[in-house]
Amino acid sequence: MPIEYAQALENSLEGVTSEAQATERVNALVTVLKNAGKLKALPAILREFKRMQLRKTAQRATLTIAHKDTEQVARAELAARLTEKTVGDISIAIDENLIGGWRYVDHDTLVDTSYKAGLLELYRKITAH
Amino acid sequence: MDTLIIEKIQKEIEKFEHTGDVEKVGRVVRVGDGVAEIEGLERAMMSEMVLFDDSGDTSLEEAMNKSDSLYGLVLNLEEDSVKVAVLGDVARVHEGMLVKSTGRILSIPVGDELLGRVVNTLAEPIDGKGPINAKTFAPIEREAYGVLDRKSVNTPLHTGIKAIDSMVPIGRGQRELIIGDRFTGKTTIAIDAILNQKNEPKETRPICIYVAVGQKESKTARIVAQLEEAGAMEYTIIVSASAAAPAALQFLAPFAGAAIGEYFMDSGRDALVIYDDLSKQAVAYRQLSLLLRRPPGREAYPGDIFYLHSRLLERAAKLNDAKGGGSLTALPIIETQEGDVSAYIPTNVISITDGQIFLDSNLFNKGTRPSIDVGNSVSRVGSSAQTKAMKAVGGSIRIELAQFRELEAFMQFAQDLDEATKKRIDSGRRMTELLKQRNGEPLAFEKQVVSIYAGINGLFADAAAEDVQKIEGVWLAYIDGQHNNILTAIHTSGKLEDDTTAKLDEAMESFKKAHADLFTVAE
Repeated sequence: MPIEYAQALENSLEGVTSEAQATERVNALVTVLKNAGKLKALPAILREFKRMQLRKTAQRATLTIAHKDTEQVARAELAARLTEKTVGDISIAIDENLIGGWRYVDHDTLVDTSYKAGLLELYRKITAH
Repeated sequence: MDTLIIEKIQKEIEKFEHTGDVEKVGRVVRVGDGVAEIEGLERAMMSEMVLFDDSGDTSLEEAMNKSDSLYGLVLNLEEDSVKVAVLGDVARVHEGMLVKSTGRILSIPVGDELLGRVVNTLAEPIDGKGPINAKTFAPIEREAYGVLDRKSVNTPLHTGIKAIDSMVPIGRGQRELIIGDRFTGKTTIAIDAILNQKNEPKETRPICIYVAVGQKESKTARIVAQLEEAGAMEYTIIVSASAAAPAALQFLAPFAGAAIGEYFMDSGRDALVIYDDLSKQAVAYRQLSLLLRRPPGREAYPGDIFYLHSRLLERAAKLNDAKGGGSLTALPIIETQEGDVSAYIPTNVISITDGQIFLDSNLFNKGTRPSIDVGNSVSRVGSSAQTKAMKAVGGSIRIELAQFRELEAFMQFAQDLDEATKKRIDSGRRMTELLKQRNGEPLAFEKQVVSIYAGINGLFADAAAEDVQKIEGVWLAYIDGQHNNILTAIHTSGKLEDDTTAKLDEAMESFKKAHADLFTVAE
């Protein structure tokens, strides 16, 4: 049941832009639950809602780069790599931990050319024996 | 030395190329109780290994500190997700974590390098003796050999236990169940069987694999120490999935043992694998199945619990000569509750195996060790692998003992017994004493033959039942010292030739004369 309520909340929040409108929708859900005597289900609904948001984020393609000025190079390299796939909207993130290179993640694909991944692979190869 | 290492590392770095290939990934959406639900991984295969990528959000230093890779095993393929059993520390898995497909079915390293080692389900060493550099890998799950690749069981696997080798013989390639309540000596029989392989010639000695499922670490440590002390670890491998291991590793451990055993079988050698025990494996599998939301059946076990055991035990085989003639013998162990063999798992495994050794807690408490219930124990194929010498001496014991047990029960109600019945009861008592054996002291096959021959030919007829074991010890020492040629003859031919029996009869006569003090005329 929490899954269905979370889905209903998600649907009702579609197209909502203002915070006031969103609060109104959430309050409406709380009232419905109160009337049905199911207020105790609220934490479970929240959990499912969070999970849905996580899934949505996972669907979004993200290109992580180590430095801001390498964005264009990273985009060009990525386009060359993903030949059979068209890259739609990509959100850009910066993570200095990558040291250099870039890392692309979407729903089911990972391309990691970062120096961090390379060094880690080398470290594991050397220490494996 | 230092320069050499630096040069080696430099070479590795020069060779190294990080391409950053396009990889198929999924994301953890739910995790708990050792099971993770993953979305994505659309091309995942059943039983595929997946790699949890916990280096994503961390710095290089932190990622290097967690250098061991965390794997999972795909167990459920669902419409939008896959469910994976985590093969390691589940605390490292969190929601949103990336999971990489490996395209490999769960495989483990196998080979001679594992001999003398204690490993976990993934064949990783847990004995602190350094890494195992095995070059060969084998899938944990493999289809068993078909009918045409097999041949009938024809070589005995001696356990060193008189009661088993004479009455419930086991052949190489057979599956013989050891079943009984807790504390009835099931593990002891299995360990004695391993210890006894020391008596076999090196070239035909089976490689032994002991798989501990859901056991206490202390028990496994004790077994390792016992085997090491007896010098048996040189041909033994221990696979341990202790009670503290995740359920997935516990249910997979016997399959890992089978995969290791199959390596030796495929190379034309003989192997013996002991699954201690399959009841605990079934419980681990039930736990995992319930967490995977598979429908529960009888006793809440999943519907494929029979298949779990049948596909495991079917991998025991005696291969034909074209396939190298190797064998894999399986000794599964099942623990019963209050001697109830009609429970779900015991009946399943009884029907799968080629016989069972039933251990009775009443006999155990009476001091009969090993506490084998002869009436309920059977070996369906082992007799064709039994040596002629053992067949000759062991043929009549089974019936004699069964009659004795019946008369013994009758004796509780009747006071006056005729002479013939009294004689039979006395003889049964002496035979029961003769079949008693201390744990950790398996007897070589030729010594068993000599001992039982003496038993059925009246050496102990004039002795009190309680003296039988003592006299047997002296008798075997006498034969070993004075008539060693008899033992050699039985060992080499595997038969009890006429001249050997004549020599044995003579030896019995001279022994009686030399040790008259040991015998008291039974009243």
